[in-house]
Amino acid sequence: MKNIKQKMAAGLMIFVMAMMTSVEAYAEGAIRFSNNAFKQVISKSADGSTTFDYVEPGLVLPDDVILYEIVFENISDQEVSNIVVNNPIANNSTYRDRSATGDSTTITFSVDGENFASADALTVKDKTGKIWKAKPEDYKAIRWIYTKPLKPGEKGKVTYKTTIK
Amino acid sequence: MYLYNHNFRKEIINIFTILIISAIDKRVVENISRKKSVLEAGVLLVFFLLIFSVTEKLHAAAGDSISNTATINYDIAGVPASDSASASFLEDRVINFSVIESDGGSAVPVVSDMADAVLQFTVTNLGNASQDFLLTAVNTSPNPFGSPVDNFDPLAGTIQVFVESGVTPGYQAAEDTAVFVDEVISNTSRIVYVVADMPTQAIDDVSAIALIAQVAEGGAAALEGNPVNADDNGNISPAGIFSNGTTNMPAGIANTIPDSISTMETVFNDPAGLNVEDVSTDLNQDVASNGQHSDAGAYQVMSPVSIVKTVTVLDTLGGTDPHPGSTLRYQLDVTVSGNTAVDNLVISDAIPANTTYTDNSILLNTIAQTDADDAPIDYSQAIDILSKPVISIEVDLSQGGTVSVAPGVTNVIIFEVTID
Repeated sequence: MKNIKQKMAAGLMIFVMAMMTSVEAYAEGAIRFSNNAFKQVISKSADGSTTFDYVEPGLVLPDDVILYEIVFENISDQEVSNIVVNNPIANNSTYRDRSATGDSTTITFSVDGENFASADALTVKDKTGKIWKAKPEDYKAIRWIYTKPLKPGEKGKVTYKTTIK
Repeated sequence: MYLYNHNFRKEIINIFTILIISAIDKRVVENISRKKSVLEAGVLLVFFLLIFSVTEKLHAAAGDSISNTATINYDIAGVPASDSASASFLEDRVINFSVIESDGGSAVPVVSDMADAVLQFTVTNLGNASQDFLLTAVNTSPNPFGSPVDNFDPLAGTIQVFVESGVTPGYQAAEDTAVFVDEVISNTSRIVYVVADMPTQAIDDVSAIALIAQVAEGGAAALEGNPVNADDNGNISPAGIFSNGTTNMPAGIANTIPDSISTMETVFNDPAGLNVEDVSTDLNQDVASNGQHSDAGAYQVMSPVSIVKTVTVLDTLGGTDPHPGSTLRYQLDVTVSGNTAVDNLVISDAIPANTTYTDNSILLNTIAQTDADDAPIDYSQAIDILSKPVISIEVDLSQGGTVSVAPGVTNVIIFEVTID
């Protein structure tokens, strides 16, 4: 008897897990999501013009600039809505002022990873309790709210840059 | 013989010539004065600023994995869903450091035949990893502070390098015994001393010395790290002997390792020496990105005796107006510098024109002296006190050759004249 109960319970567990997995698999399948880091390389040509190249971050030293490129593509056959991309600033890195971009997005920042506001509205409190406008080096996270639905086959991209400490 | 070191920031407040006769240089020199106490206080302040200096911008450690995970949340067919994606790479190691002479941008005054004459330097780690630094000091030229030209070297085999222990500011032979700089974290500095014995030299002679630092592996406290004599970009260090002769480093072997996001590469980014006297251990001009950096300081021989002379005007009405009849009270603070006592030190000072010596006005360390040449009652006299006018005063601080005047002691001589 006990043995049968155990088997039933196990079977139920497997079923529930299979259901959960299938839901998640379906959701993951809707968006192809990628996050890539590139090192910015500035080169000046003989005519004085400046070229920015973005290469694999194989050699990264303090004060190097890193470009992060986050891409989301709707690979399902249904419209995807309420897209929000969250991105904490990496360790050993400082956000570069006004570097965050993203078409059809509202960009907000956070100094604590929880409360987000626009760059103009973001504040920090010093040890004496005085409130100051947050500086880019205070930022801990960036949030992009995609302001329209993403149709099947459509792609969105957000980017930002950091400086290595 | 004119004793003058143009690099000293000093206040020359003497009004007329004072004669100094010392056994060490046996020369007659013009008076040079400086406010020693002010200078020493400044040096002490700079020392503390340097030894405790940690700049605000602390570089993170090389070798850290810099990792970033972005998440996306969205709704599909009314069902919330999410996903995440990570990007990561390693922070590589940049080696950069400075070596700066820290004696105030001027030659260090030394005394002929002085033992353990000290030059001070500051080594600062400007890279992003903790490093050890190996050290050596070598003769170099020209004089990093301009003129006069470098014209002598310390006694052969006496140049040594030691690192400040942090216990007592300034070189202390008993405390500052480390021969390499241990575990310097990013953007912090250590004080390093070059210590050498001086030969017999004339006043104003100059010896330029370069301190060369070679980067070495950090990570093990109190252990001298292996020298880093090659980076991963094909740069190498020249061979050298460090740690007061105990470490013999071969030249690096060039190697180039491909950049990778998963291994830490090392890159030399130390600057070139700006001046010709900045050299590497191959004694060539200090080049950029070779894991070595240097700066030069210099010793300059000077009289071991310094005199600060001040005058106070006391007029007949109780004021300070120098009119006829006013008294001028001269004070001579006589100090022996260096670390060697001086023998046969006699201080002479001429009575200025248009003034008359005030009889029995000589004071030595507040004790009244007689004007007569009457040693051993005292060792001061007013020259020509019997025939008048008195032309000068003379104080024999060595008491007829029986006493050595120790370094660091200040003797105060006071005498008065009246304006004719």
